[in-house]
Amino acid sequence: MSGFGGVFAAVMISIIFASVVTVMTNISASSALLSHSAMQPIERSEPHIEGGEFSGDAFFVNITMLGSKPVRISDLRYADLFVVYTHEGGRISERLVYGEGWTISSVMTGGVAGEAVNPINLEAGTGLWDPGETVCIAITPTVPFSGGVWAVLLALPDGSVCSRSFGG
Amino acid sequence: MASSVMTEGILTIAVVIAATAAAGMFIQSNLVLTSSQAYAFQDTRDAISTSIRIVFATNSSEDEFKIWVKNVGRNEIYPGSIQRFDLFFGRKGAATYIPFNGTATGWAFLMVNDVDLDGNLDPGETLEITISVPYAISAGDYQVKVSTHNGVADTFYFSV
Repeated sequence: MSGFGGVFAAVMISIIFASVVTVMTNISASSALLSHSAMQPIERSEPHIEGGEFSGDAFFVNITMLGSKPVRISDLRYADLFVVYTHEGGRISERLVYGEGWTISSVMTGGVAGEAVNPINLEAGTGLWDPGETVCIAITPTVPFSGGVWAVLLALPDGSVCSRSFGG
Repeated sequence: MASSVMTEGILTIAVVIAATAAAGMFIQSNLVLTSSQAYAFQDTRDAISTSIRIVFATNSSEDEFKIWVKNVGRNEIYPGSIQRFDLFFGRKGAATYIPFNGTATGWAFLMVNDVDLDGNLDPGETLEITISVPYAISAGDYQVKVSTHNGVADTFYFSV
């Protein structure tokens, strides 16, 4: 009888031990996964506005991609472009949608028209805006610009933002 | 001899009961611990994967402001969670809590580029928040802070 009691107690202790080990393993694995998630920051692009002008009925802005991360042209539908300008004495702030209120009119690399890699096809909406490439975007305001100062802000899908004010 | 067997029997039963009770207690505690740890892990992981950025804000009428908030994290955010956002707004240094869909003062939201039309704020998509205030907006510095349902926040300062 005492032999059965000892064996039973040993089995119970083994169950406790196995249970504790399982819990510790789970906690350890979860912590490792959490650390891995925390240590993987989201890489962001670095757009930089080079210059801009108002011509005809549109604003034209040159933006160069710095850093190391490209942006897919197809993802520009997630981008937010804000333009602030004056119209008949009042200040207008509006958010414009890619393909409707603004679009890419040309691509340059190092001041030369064209690009070497991942060519942008505006009609197909394919290609990459690679680091080093400068896109000229044309922004059409919803009401006529009365002149004076204006500003543009572009927020890309990954959350990177560039902005600049212009005069004239 | 008979009393010795009886004693061993009683001891055996006592050991079995004690071991069963101890094992049950430990297993129960471990289950609670595992469950709590799983919830805590999930919450922390959600918070790490959630990130927002206020990209622009301006006044849109005499008593309304608009702010645009971009989901720059890895998780999508459901409309039900957006309604649980906390929004603080006001003059710089004097921001107060603004209730969702409040009567005199309140905020409402609109998804301005729900590309996949799933109704959720997916990574990269933008939320347009309209804040109604019960006074005429005057020139000055303003601040707005948006805190998500799981405590991730961003603050933006602007002037009108």
